[in-house]
Order: sequence, then structure tokens, then C-alpha cells
Amino acid sequence: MKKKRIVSLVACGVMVAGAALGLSACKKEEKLTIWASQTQQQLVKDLMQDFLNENPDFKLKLEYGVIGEDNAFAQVSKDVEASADVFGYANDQVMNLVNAGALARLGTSMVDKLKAENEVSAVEAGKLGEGYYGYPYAADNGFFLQYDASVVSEEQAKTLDGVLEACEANNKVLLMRLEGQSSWYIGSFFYAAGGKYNIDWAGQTMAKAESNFGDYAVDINGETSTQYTIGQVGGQALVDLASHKKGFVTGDDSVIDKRLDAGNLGAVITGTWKAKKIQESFGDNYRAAVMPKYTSSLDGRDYQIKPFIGYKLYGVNRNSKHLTEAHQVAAYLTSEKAQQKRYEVLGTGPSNNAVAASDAIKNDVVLKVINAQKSFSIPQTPLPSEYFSALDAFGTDVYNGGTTSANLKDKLDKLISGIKH
Amino acid sequence: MKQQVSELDYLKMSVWQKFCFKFVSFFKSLPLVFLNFFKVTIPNAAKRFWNGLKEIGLTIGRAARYGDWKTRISFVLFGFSQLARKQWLRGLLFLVFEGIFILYMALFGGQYLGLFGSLGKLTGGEYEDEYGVPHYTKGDNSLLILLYGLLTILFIIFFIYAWYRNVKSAYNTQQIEEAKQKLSTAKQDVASLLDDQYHKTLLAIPLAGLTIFTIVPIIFMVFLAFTNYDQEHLPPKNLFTWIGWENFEAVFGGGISGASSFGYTFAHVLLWTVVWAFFATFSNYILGMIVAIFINKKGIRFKKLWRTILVMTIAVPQFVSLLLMSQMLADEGVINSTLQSWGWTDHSIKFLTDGTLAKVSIIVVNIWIGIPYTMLISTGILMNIPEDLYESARIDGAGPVKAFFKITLPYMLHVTAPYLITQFIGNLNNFNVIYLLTGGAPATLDYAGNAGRTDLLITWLYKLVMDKQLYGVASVISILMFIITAVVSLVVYNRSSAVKNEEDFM
Repeated sequence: MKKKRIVSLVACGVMVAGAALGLSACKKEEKLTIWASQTQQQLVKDLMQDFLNENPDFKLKLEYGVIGEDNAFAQVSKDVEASADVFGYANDQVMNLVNAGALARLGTSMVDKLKAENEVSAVEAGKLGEGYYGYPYAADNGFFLQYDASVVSEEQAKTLDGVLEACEANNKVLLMRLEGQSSWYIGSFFYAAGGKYNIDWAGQTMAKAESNFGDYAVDINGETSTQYTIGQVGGQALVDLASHKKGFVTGDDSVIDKRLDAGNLGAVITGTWKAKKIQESFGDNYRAAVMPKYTSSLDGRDYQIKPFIGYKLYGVNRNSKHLTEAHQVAAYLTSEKAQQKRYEVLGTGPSNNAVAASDAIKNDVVLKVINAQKSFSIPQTPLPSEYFSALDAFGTDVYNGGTTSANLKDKLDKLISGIKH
Repeated sequence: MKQQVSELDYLKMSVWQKFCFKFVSFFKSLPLVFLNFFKVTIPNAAKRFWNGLKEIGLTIGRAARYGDWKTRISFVLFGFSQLARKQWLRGLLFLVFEGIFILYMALFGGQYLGLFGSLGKLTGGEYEDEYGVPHYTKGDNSLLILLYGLLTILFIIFFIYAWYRNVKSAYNTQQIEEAKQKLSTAKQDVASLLDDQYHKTLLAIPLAGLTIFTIVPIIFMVFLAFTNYDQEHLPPKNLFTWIGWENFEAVFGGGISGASSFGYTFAHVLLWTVVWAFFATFSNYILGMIVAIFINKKGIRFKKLWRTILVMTIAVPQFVSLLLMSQMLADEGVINSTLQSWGWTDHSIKFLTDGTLAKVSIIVVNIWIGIPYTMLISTGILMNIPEDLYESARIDGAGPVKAFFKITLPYMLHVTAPYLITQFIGNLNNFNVIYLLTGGAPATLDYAGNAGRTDLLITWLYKLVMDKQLYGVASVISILMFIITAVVSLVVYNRSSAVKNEEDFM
């Protein structure tokens, strides 16, 4: 009996000792961690190898993590101090990241240098309050119309009704995300009618967004409606779109793949990242075009859909133990050379002026459209999550038939207060 | 509880009436249960607590009054009485513990305790180096202050307890010495830990684990509910502080009627949580039992084959089947495209995107993944029901339905009531099914805090923390969830026949 007791005690002791040993085994080493998306992993490693060759004095050990730019905040917020020293992020997260104390501000001379070398709005994308918090490297985070030329003609692609008509006539569909996480897309229908959002920087902490969707709509010619508000025009356009049961479907990226495989896609409104796959499927008939305009069923006027244009940046963790080196690495990863290589390997649209001016990019089917769209695109600045969740909910409700022409006004009130909330 | 109807009246009722009667009397008895709780359970516990305190006070008083100088020095210097009486091991342990405590407080705990009231005063600073590049200095970290402050407080409470044990033991050794008895040696002390004190040795590790991994996090969470730890106050950059009951006001301040307020959202999400838990639990239970009975029936062939086929669904990890189901039921999923290609419908059925239909789909999918478990459990129990019970029932002229309600169901309920309760509680907090099937979608403008139509409290909580960083409000909601689950499980469990008629088991 006693033996058994001793054995059980020893077993417990071994377990505890094992755990203690495991903990103490973590050795400390001077290192610098870089987080980049899966697609960029190899590129970043190659770039850093070049960097090490150019800077033989750089002594820190480099480590890499796979965190997508869209996921940066979700990861960083778990433990800011344990996060990477340098990480890529999409610029809509700038506010959350700065508030979480995750981003170090750039020195003023660096900001001036970046502004001289890059598209200014790309540098501004990393701005919050008076500070700049990132090194831009991509200026292509937008969506546009991609279509099959055998279904939709170039003329039809200029209007939303034209695209829908062409698709329905050919038993094909137009795909755009309307339900679920659709806020990024459907906001453009409100911006079409002159929609704006204002951010109230209450003492530089969390901002509250406020939309002007209650103001009167402005059409493509700059004429202000005296009857209909921005919300009504944009909301009605979405309701009309959802009513095309035959020619319109909603869905995320996986649905695009499915529909491409099934071969009944006539046109897609989606982002740059999907272009390659759609191109492969449509073949020579692939066309990319700027976002179409829609004709409001309320007043019969035309409104140009204005998509977001977003940027991607590398930021430096403000809790980094090697702040100087981290800035050095981030600057290198976004340098002209790096952006050139990134375009060649991944087709990423650069923010660097010199790279953007190259003939290759001017003739790039996708980037050409993104750049053409920039004349009316809405640069996506930091927005509180309330903005996105309110628009997500509105789009979902339109898709589910909860929002109709009849109760549009009520739902718009909720949308406007939801954004403000 | 007093029966409101005589036994004769009760027996005269039809099955339906009996069910209604039981249902009503259960809810009628609920207030009594609560009343009982407040009138008997709480006063009794308070009395026991008070008696315990009195006992402690008396012990300390006796030690102070009748203790010799050695015992009295022990009040300040731990273990002195034992050491002076040559009980080396005990004395040394007490002394070392006091030393550790003082060192801990001086070097570590004291500063955190000092900041505990404000949760930090110093925010991180920023300065520019000669190149104009900003660098940062560290400020106070409210989260760490809260955590270490809490640990320090718990340590102090433990220290006070140790002081009491020290005084008691000091006086005890004095008494033993005065009675001219032999004091236990160090060897005997150690030996007793493996003998008559063995329970303490064994319980030490689980108790420590329970404290560190369960009790401390719960207290920590309760404390968080009274702070403004949210997006605007994220450590280490920003400080958060105590705000009293403001988070509770945020949840209930808007009232539960105003749409898109937290109160309204909480009420609706809670309602759906309870509805879901009810259907998820009982649909699985009853259908699983019926399947088990079918397979158990005499004359059914290939029993093992049927059981194996059903159990196969357990072999596939649950999250895989759930993700597959969510893909299949999607608007553009296999099921919809098949239905469309067959011409049964011309547009997608919104299995997971329409609020009401999504709720139904979730419950149905849950039945599919849940039945095998109940079937397995029921099979074992069903095979245990003595066959002679059924035989005598048949002789008395009972049909299969009557036999089910009179023999099978009572037997099953008696045995599986605790299982049912844990299932119900588990379903109240069933994160997997909801998160993997719909993620709480469809979103709605009626709800606040990102909640969707199919969100349970637990998935809403996840969104509040992960998407909105509203840690304070989320803590309030988890406290409420804790209360709800605790009350439901305690009340139902104590009233279940498995507990009430433990000896009745056939």
C-alpha cells in the first residue's frame, strides 16, 4: 500500500519537474521577427537575404511568421509585446493598431523621404492624427469589374444594368458580395451618390465615424437631388440589385471559384487578388474595367459607383527591443528595389512612383484599371469596426429581403445610427 | 413539497394532464426552491462561517492568554515556539515561509499592491533621438498590475491563514510539552504525510491547480467587469482603471426594449441561447434513444453494422463535419445547386443566411452530429433494463408505447438525468456548432455589439472580445452567463430523481 502511494507521488513529482524543465528551456536570443502573409513568405526571405548581404553589420537573428496583412490586428492584439518587430498590415487597421500601442511612429525625415518616393495617398494611408505609422508597399487593394467579353460587351460594362442585362440574356450571372462581410463592397453604392464619412478624433483615441447618408444625393454630373438622400439612392440601388434573382448572385471568394468551375459566371466585382484565377478561366475573353455606374430607379439619374482604394504597409512594433533595426528592415522591405521585385514575383501594384511608372505596370491589365479608377476611388482611411458591422448587417438584410423599397427609410435610420454607434 | 391534489385525483388524470400537472408543479415549486435557498441554505452557510471565525478567534485568544513567552514570540516570528521546543522541521518551514512572504512583498508584491487602487498612474512616454526617430519608454501596465495585485492579495490572505496555523501550532506544541508528552519528530511529520495526512498530500496538487487555473481567472474576470478595459484603454500603451458599475449599466442601462442597445441584444441572444439549448439537448436525447430502441429491437438484423455506421460520424472530428455542413448548406453550396439542377427551386434556399431558417438548420445539423452519442449511451442502459419487467407488462396487457412511457423512459431519465443536465449546460455554451456553422450570421442592425441572429451568448462574447476589444462589457456578460448556468444546473440537478431518490434505483 505504502509503495503504491510513494510511486504515485513520484509520478506527480516527475510531471511537475517536467513542466518546470520545459519552461526553463526557453533560451533568450537577440532576434528580430517579421510577419508577412503566406504569399509573401518566400519573397520576404529572399529580400532579407539581400539585405543581410548589403548590411554585414546586422547581427540580429531573423525569424519569420505567417500572418496575413488582413489579420495583423487580430494577431497583434492578443499580446502586443510578444508580437513581431516588423509586420505587414492593411491600412484600415491603422487606428486599432495605434490604439493598441502596436505601431511606432516614423521620424519626420523618413516621412518626407517616403512622400517623395511614393504615391502620397499611400503614405497618408498610414497616418493617424498627426503621426505616420507605416511604410507603404502596395497601392492596389481595390475592387473593379472583371468580365467575360463573350457575355458582356464593352458598352454594356459601363452600366450596372447593362452588365445584368447581358448576363441574364446569356444565362450567366454577375457576382458581388452583398451578404456577410460585404461592407467593403457595398459602401461604394453610397459613395456613388456623394456619400462620405467623417471621423471624429476625440482626443486621438478611438474615433467615432459619422456618415452623411442622410444628406441629399449628388449624381454623376454633380447635380444635387432635392428629393432623395444619399442613403435612399444607394440603398435602393442595392435593393434593385438584389431583386435580380436570375442575373445576380452574392458570395465570397470560394463561391467565385465554384462559379468559375461551373462556367456560369458572366462578370465579377471583386478585388485584385482574384484577378489571376478569373483570367485563367475567362482566357482571351477576360476584360477588366472600372466600376460601372448605376441608374437610380428613384430619379432615373446616373451615379458612378466609387470603390475603396486601400493600401498595404509594413509597420514597426513600438514595443520592439530593436526599434532602429526594425525601422531599417521595414524601410528595406518597402524600398523601390523590393517593390520592383514584389511586382515581378507576385504582381503586387506598387506604391513607389518609379516602379509604378514602368511600362510593365502601365500595360498591366489589372493595375491599369486600378490606376484609372483612382480618379474617383475613395481612399480607405481608418474606420472603426462599427462602420463595417453596420454596413455588413445592412447588406445582409437587403439580401435576405428584410429591407425593401417600402421600409428602406427605417432601415437607413438604423444604418446611420449603427455607423455612429 | 405538498401535493395540491390527492393521489386518487392524480391517478385519474390522462397522460397529457399528468404531464401538464408535473410541468406546472415544477415551476410552482421553483420559487419555493429559491426561498429555501435564501431562508435555509444561506443562513446555514453564514452560521457555519461565523462559527468558524469564532473558533479561530478563540484559538488565537487562548494562545495569547495562556501561551508562554516562546508561544508569544511566535506571534511575530513564525515557528519560534516549535524551534525552541526542538521541532525543527515545522519551525523552519514556518520561518522560511515568513521570510519568503516578506521578501515577496518588499521586492515585488508591494509595488503592485500600491498601484492596485488606481491600476497604474504612469503612461508610456515618447522621445525622439538625434535623427528625429521616436523611441518609447514603458509606463505602467494596468493588466499586469491587476493580475499581480490580485495574486498579492490572495497571497496575503494565505499568509494570514498561515499565521493562524502558526499560532495554533505554536500553542499546540506548548500544550503537548506541558502535558509531558513527546512531540512528533521531523521524521514522524514527514511519515504522517504519507499515512494519516495522506489526503492532504494528494489533494495539494489538484487544489493548487484548481486555484491557479480556475479560481484566480474567475476572480480576475470579475474584477475586469469593473474596469474600463476596452479599445480605448488597451495596455501596455494606455492605462485602464476602476469604473464601478458602469459596464453593468452599459449592458442594462439602455433597457431591454430599445433596439440595437446592449440590453435588447442581451435579452434576445439569451432567449435564443435558451431555446437552442432546449431543442439541441432534447432532440438529441429523444431521437438518439429512439434510434437505440430500434436497433435493440428483437428481430432487427445486423445490429452491430447499424451501430458501427452511426458511430462512424463520431470518428470524423466534429469541426470537420461542421465545416463541411456549412459549406454544403451555403447559398451556393452543394445542396442548393443540386436542388436547383433538379428544378425543385429556382433560387437558393437560405439555409444559413436567413435568420429563422438558419436557427432551424443549426438544430437539425446538431441532431445529425449528436444522435450517435445518445444512441451509444442509451444502448448500454437499454440492455440493462431487466427483460422480466417488459414480460410482466406484456402479460398485464401493456402495448409497446405504454411500456416505453412506463418502463423505458423513467428508467432512462433516472439514470441519465445528470447527463442531460451537463448536456443542457454544455449546449448553453456550445461554441463550436454555432461558430463553425454560421459564425453568428446573419448580421442584423437590430443588435448591438456585432451580434448576429444565430449568436449564442458565448459566440457573442467571442466577438465582443476579438472584434471589439470590449473586455469590460464581455466580463459582465460572462458573469451573467456563469450565474445562469450555475443556477440552472444546481436547481435542476438537486431536483432530479437521480439525486432525490438515489436508493430507488432498480
